[in-house]
Amino acid sequence: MLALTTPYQTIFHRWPASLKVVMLLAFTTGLMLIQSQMLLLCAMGLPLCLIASQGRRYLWFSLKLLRPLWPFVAIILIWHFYTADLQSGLFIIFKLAAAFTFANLVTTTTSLADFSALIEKAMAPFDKNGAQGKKLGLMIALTLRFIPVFIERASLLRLAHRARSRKHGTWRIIFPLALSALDDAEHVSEALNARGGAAPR
Amino acid sequence: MIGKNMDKTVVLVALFAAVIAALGLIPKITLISGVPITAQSLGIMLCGTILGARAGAQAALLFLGLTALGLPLLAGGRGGLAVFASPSVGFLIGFPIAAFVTGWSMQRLGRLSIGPASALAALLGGIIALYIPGVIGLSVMIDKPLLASLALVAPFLPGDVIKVILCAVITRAIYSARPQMVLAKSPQPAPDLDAATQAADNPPQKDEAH
Repeated sequence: MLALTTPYQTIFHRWPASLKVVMLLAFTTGLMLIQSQMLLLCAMGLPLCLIASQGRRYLWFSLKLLRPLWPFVAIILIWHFYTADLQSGLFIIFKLAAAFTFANLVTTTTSLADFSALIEKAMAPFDKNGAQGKKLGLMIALTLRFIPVFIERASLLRLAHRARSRKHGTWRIIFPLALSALDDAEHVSEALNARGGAAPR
Repeated sequence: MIGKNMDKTVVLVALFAAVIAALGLIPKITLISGVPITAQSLGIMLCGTILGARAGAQAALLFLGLTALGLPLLAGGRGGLAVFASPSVGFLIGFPIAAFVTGWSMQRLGRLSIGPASALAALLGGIIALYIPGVIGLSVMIDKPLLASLALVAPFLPGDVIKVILCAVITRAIYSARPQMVLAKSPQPAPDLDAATQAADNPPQKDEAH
């Protein structure tokens, strides 16, 4: 399944999604207010300790997820090297890394189904007869289904183009790809309508 | 008819959220300057030029929501709540804004022909409206002045201009082949983007044989 959820079981999988999201919000808000170095080190240590408590493999898995931050770390370090203020640069990097690690902890231990149940619950007060929640659920399901269909269609068109052309300029497939995706959408919406539509009338 | 058009909007919103996600899988093209270009913001522009302001923003929001739920849909396989704590958070928040502004401009540029109108709309929404929150977000997250942050993302601009042109070419191609699918090209700004008025104003095309 296309997801960031970790294959390693942790105790955090069993915590309710709402608790984890509230903890994340509290953590990142608190992080913004931190001024002292000691507190920042503690804040950095908290998600790391939680992750490390679940075994070395999960710790390694989580640390690998920090990779996208490297370019920003480099930029910040270079900047603060030139302004001779490396300390505040490290301060920013630690704040970023702490927030990122905690958010990854929540993401990797919460399943898509748990998250969508949480969204539906959060939407309930604004949703009189459940129609909006249902519509959103339908849209999420459709999008998840469209992604692999679209990718497969693109690779089929690429093969067809390669079979008929000596050139390998694949950008040309973008037009048939767009049109076939729109035709799919047309068919799906007709099928949806024939089965009672997306919302109660 | 309302129900039918609502179904179509629901499906198109889901489709375009999927298109933004799929565009994130296109291997990035690296310029001579060493700056990578990803195709994802092209998807945001197309949301606006084809779906219009409201449905386009909905598609971008749906995409963001799925990313936040933990699907690795952003270019480079990133996703999860952590991306909202990363320095590019401003650009993510800018996605639905950019799609909305693109669609809004598109609906008001009805007098221009489809190509120039979508290029201008994509420029206003996909570049200007995207970079304002993007640069602000970057400057807050890495704690640098606005101008310095702007300089950091400026190398992406040539790629964005290419995307604006691509967006215009694609939108025009779709409009000439499936005019009924271009919800944004409505003569008057439809409040709830029902294609009903638009279908009535577009004379039946050859592919609408009954």
